[in-house]
Amino acid sequence: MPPSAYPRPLPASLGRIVLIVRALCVLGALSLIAVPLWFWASPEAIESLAPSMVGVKEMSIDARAQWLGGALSLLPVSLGLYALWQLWRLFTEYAAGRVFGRAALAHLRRFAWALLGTALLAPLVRAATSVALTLGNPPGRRMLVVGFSWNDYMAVLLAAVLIAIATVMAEAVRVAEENEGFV
Amino acid sequence: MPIVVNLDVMLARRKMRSRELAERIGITEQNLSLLKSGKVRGVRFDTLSRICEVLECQPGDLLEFRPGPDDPPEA
Repeated sequence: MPPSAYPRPLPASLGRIVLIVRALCVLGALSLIAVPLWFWASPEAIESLAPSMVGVKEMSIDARAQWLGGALSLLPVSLGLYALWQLWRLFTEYAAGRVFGRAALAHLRRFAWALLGTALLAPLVRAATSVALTLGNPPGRRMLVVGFSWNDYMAVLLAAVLIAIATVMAEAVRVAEENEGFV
Repeated sequence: MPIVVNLDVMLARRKMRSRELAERIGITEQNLSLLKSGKVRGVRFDTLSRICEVLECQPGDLLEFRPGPDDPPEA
């Protein structure tokens, strides 16, 4: 591949999007770390927010429930951080003008799969959290809440679309590489 | 590759340096060097016509087909 092929000047509109997405990545990563920490460390927060988030009304918020809930949140948080890291690196490639590079394609593909994983994991983690929060209840009042919301459905759909786009991008990268061989 | 690029021969005939040709046809010296050494997958008609225009020659003066071991002639 001729070295002159990459990088190419970035369109101004994409330059702005790169800045916005990077800022959102940082904000998202900080929130992903801070919010679950705050939530699982605060029984008041659990009591007020868990009914709408998990779907349980009667719960026993003790240290075991808090530790279990915190441990359960580690998986989606880790996957979310991985997705944001891949997004950050994808936009680093875009910022360098390597829009059709193999690295950009790999980051897009990993981000899409991480998003799909997060979307599929969300209902499972909510169900497990409902068990963790009601584990201290008397027998018969422990609950397993299973639910798939519209947001979960949309997230799965979005991830599937992104995976499809990444597959199409692979063809675009192949064509771009072939084109670079021409002078 | 049985296609041989005779660009350096034409440059010598016209007493022109690679840098000048690259500037006049609007490609980088690096890409021109790759073209001269035949290390490209292809040449765009646009580039070829600009080279012919500047060097006042025909495409046949620049490109030559020489059957080699990679591409044996038909029996």
